[in-house]
Amino acid sequence: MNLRFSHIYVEKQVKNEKYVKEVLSKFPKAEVIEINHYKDRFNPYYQSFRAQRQAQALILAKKEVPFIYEASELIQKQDKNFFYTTPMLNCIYDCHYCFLQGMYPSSNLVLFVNFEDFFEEVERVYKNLGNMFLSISYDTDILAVENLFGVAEIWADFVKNKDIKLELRTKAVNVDGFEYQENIVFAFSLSPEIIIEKYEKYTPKLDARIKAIKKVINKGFRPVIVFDPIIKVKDYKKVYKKFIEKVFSEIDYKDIESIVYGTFRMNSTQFKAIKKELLSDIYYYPYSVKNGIVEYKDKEEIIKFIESLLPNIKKFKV
Amino acid sequence: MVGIVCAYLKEAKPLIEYFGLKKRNDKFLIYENEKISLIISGQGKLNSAVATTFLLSTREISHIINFGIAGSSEYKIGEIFLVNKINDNLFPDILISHPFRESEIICFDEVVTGGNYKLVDMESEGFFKAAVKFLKSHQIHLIKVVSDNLVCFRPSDEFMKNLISSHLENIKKYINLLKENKKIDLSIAEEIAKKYHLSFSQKEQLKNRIMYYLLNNIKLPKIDFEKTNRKNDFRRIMNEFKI
Ligand code: SF4
Repeated sequence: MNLRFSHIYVEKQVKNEKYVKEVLSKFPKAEVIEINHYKDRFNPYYQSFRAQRQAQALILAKKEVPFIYEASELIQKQDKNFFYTTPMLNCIYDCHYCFLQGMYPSSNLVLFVNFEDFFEEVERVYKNLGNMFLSISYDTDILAVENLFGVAEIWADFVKNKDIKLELRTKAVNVDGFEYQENIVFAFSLSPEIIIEKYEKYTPKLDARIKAIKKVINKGFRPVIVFDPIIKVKDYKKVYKKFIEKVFSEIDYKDIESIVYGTFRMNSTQFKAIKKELLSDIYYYPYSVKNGIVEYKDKEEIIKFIESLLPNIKKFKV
Repeated sequence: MVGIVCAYLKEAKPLIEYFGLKKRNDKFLIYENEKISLIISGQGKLNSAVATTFLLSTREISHIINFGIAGSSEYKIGEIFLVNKINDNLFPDILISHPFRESEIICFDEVVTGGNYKLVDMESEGFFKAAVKFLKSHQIHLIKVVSDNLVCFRPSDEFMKNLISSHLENIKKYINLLKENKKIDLSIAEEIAKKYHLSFSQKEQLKNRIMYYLLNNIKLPKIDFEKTNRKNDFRRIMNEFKI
């Protein structure tokens, strides 16, 4: 039995906020524990990221500076003035290949509730630049918890009538609440069903994700499709050929803004940290390690093969 | 095995009897069977930390419990709690569904005889701080029974027995929920490495490959070359373990 959110930790400074009370009212059975600062709960070294996944706790907190980050060169940029922000730390999904496992001492979900502070900072930076591309689901899946926390909707409201493109990268499928808005970019991550089943725990099935893509297209959005990470499973060529053919037989590629794709890769420090706790064959494959990055030895060949399957639209290799 | 740290023999006695633990000759007062090892620490943070450290460095322990009495101005005498916060900043991880109520606790250096506190004791902080040097926070547990409403008193053996005995079944249930860490058997890698004189790094590569096979439910090949050849054996072995 998974006991997600059986424990909710609330910073004293936010406990009386309306939004916090609303969130708490959704979990009447949860044990609510007051804390001084979310880092007291989140940072201790003696936690087990993996074990905590059995009963992921929720931490409601106030974020401090910085509120947004400029995307580094390592991150593929689909647009100029690319920024990302972290309205939440960690994710309710549990993908074997997720680098968060190697980045944070805890897998508990930290939700920042001081939206106004984020908005103020975004407003300041964006006014200087004239426009902005802002990903709010870069290292989490914010849509996955939309029904509980409504974070994407709050941001979508904020960017209305502003020259800010808001990217929602997701594996989730709950898109019904979104009316067409020209500056929202849905980026749907897709994987072959056998990869979803084996490595993307708790995520919706491929068919459900394709259905969600069709829904947003019908509303007028032009979504991005993300094939990342591509994983070299057994007979991967057959698997990916069938998969990509299926995707573009159901979705007209002309309705797609662009495709983002890349093979599995990871910083080797994170790789080692994850391998200590997670039992997944991903961490036992014979990769090459170059400049601190773990990746497939035949990455170029895999990429070439995938490219041969993709339709002729805007593409970004990561 | 599961470790239990109690400050006093009085608190421990009902557990010792219930679980049928036998006294050991050791530097501390320790009572054990194959599954449980219980140590008497004496009063206070420092004593608790020292005993916890001793137990965790001399036994293979996968979970450790601080069991004992606590004072409270809020709860009824005899109520039992699983602790979810110590002193505002220490958090045992509670990841299983359990039969207890939960509470925070404040750990003091001296006996507390007044004020408003959910739970107070004199050991929890020392116990927890020592335990995290060995275990992760989901392997560290504190179970406290309210013995008094913040008055100074000396409980008799009889009083303790009455206080604790009705909770023994739930304590046993809780201990049964605690899981040992799973270990994957890689002795086959050791055997092959020994037989073919593999280097340390070759053995590690082989272990990775065997893990890859096991996690994919692929049948392991039988490695049994008629002639060994130091230069080529590793390559030959890895050829058998193709991906
Ligand atoms: S959906 Fe993304 S952020 Fe969430 S676990 Fe998977 S890879 Fe990590």
